[in-house]
Amino acid sequence: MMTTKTLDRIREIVAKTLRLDPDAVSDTSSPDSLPGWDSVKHVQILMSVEEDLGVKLSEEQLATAWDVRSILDAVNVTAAR
Amino acid sequence: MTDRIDRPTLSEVADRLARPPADADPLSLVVLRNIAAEPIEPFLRYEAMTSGFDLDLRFGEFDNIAQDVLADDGPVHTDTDIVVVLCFLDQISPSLARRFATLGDDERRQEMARVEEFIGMVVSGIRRRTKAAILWNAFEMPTDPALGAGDFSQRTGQRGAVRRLNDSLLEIAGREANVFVLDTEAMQVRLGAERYFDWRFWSSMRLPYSRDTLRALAADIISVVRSVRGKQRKCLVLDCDGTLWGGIVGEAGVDGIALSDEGRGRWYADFQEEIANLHARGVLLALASKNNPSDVWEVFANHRSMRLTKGHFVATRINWQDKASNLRSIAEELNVGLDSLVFADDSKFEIGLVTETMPMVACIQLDGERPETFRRTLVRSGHFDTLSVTRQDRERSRSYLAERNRKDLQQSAATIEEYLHSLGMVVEIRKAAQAEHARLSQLSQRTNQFNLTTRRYTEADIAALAANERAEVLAVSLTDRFGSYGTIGLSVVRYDAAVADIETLLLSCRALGRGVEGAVVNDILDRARKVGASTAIGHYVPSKKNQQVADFYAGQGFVADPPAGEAGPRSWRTAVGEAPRAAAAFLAVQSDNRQVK
Repeated sequence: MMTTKTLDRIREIVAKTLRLDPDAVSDTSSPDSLPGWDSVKHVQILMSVEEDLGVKLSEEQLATAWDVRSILDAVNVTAAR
Repeated sequence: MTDRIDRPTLSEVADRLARPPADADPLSLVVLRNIAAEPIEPFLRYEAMTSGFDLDLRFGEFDNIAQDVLADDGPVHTDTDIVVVLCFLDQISPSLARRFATLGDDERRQEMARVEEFIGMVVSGIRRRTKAAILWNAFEMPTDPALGAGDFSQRTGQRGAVRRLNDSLLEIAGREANVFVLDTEAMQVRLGAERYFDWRFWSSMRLPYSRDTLRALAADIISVVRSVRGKQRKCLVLDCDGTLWGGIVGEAGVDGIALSDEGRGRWYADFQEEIANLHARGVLLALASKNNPSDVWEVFANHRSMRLTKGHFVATRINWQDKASNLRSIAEELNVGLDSLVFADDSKFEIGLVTETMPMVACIQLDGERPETFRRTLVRSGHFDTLSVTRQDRERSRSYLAERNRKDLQQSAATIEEYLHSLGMVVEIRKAAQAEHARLSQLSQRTNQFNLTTRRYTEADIAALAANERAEVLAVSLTDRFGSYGTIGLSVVRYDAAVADIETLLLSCRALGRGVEGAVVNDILDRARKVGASTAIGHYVPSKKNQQVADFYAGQGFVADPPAGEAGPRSWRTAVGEAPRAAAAFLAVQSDNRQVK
C-alpha cells in the first residue's frame, strides 16, 4: 500500500522531470528505456524524489538508485529507518 | 529569489514550466563553469519565466572556462545577454581549497596570484566577445577554515585568502562596466553551511551545491538580470487583513485587529516598517483589499500603531472584485507592466489565483499564522533588489502620486474561471448535525460582511431551529486543493405553506469570491422544491458592514419586492422552478438534500 503510493509518486516525478506522459513511466522504467533520462536529469529526479517524499538518501544509496525500482527500494529503506 | 528557501519545489517548477506564458523577452544566458551545474537549469528557467524572460540557456563545457572564452567557436557570442561564471575554488585551486595548511608563504602567494590572473583573463576574454553582463559567483568561504579557530585572525589564513580573491573580483566589478559579483556569502549565511553544500554528488559528478543552493542561486542570478535589463519590479501590491494587520477589520473593528507596538501585533508593525523602507528606496506601494474602503481608511487614520499612511500608496483598490482584476487595473493606472508588480497576501487562494492567471506577477505568500516571518519573507524575496538606489528611484513615488487618477476597469473573468476550476473545490451543504451547533452559532455571531440579515443565534437557538420541522439549518463547508476551510457558511430556511423563507444566509469572508453562495442558493431552491414550496423569499437587512451583499439576490435571479423604505430591509422572491439550476462548472456540490423529505 505504502509502497504502491510511493511508487506512483516516483513515476510521476520521473515523468515530470523528463516531460513525459505519466503513463509512459512504469515500475521497470530505467535510463535505458526512457528517452532523455541522462545523468543530469537523473540528479534532478533524485533531488525531486527527496524533496517530494521528504527523505534524504545517503551517497551510497544515491549511487545504487539508478532506475525506478531501485529508487523505490532506496526510499523504502530510508523511510523504514 | 523566492520568499522561502525551500520553494518552489522541483515538482512545482516542472508544473509551471509546462505552461509558459505567451509573450516574453528573449534572454540568452551562458553559464561557464568548472562544476556540474546543469541541475540548476529548471530553477533558472522558472525564475526567468516568472520574470518575463524567454530563456535561451547554454552551458559551457565542464571545467573549460578558459578554453570556452578563448576558443572562437565557444559558447559566448556578441548577442549573448548574460554570462554567469560558476568558478568553484576546489576546482580552480585544489591547493587553496584542500591543502591550504601545507602551503608555504610563497606558494600561497603564487597560487593566489595565479587565480587572480585567471579571473582577469576570463573577464577580459568575455569582454572581447560581448558586452554582455558578467555575473561571477563569489568564492565560498570555507565552512571549516584550514587553520581552525585561529584562521580568522590571521591575514595569512584561508578565510583571508578567499576574502582577498573576492576583493579582487569586487575590484574588477567596480572598474569594468557590467560586471557583477553574486553574493555567495549572504546565501551561505541564509542557508547555513550544512544546507548550502551537498557533497553527495561531489565525488561522482562534481556538483557541490544542494537543491536549496541551486534554487537560491538561480533566483539571485535572475534578480541581477532583471536589474541589468531594467526589469526590476516597481510596485508592491499589498493585501490588508491578515497582511498589514492581523484579523479582519470588517469583522473585528479598528480596535479588534492585531497591530501594536508590543506583543504579537508588533510583527505587523515591523512588517510595515520594512514596507516603508522599500518606499524610501523608490518602490511604489499599492493596496488590493477585499474590504469596505471606510473600514480600511479608518485603520490608517486612527490606529496608533500604523507605520504606513494613506500617502504611501499610489494606487488603491479596496472593493469586492477579484484580486487579479484589481492588479491588472493597478498596473494600468500606474502604466507599468504586470511584470513590474509584486503581490503580497496571506491568502493561499488569492496568491494561487494570481500565480495561475497572471504568472508575470511575482507573488509573496505570507504565512498568516506566523507574522514574525513577514519581514524577512519580504526582504528575502529580493524582488526589488537594485544594483544601486538612485535619486530618481527615491522620487518615483512622488511623480506617480501626482499623476494619480482612479479608473475602474472591467476585467475579463475567463481565466479566473479556469483558475477556480483548477482549485478542485468541493462544497458540502448539509443539515446541521448537533456537534456543529456551537460552530454555527459562532459563525452567526462573528460574520458581518457576507451576512444578508445579520441575525445572531445562540447555540440553543440553532438547536431549536434544527428540531423545528418547519425549518432547516444548513451548514456549508468547503474544501479545495489547498485544504479544508471547515464550516464556512450557514443558512436558516423556514417553510410556511408554499413559501421557503431564507431567514439567514451567511458566508465567512474566507470563502468569498468562489461561487459558493450561488451553490447554496441553488441547494436551498432544490430543498424547497422537494418539500413542495413554490416560492423562495430572500431578505437583505442593511448593517454597517454588509453593504457588499445589498444586491445579492438580484444577482441570483430573484425579483425585488417593492421597497418598504429608502434604506430599510428589502425582500426578493423567485419561483422555485421545475428543475435544479445549473451549478457553476468549477464547483462540485455535495448535498444531503436527496434525503430531505
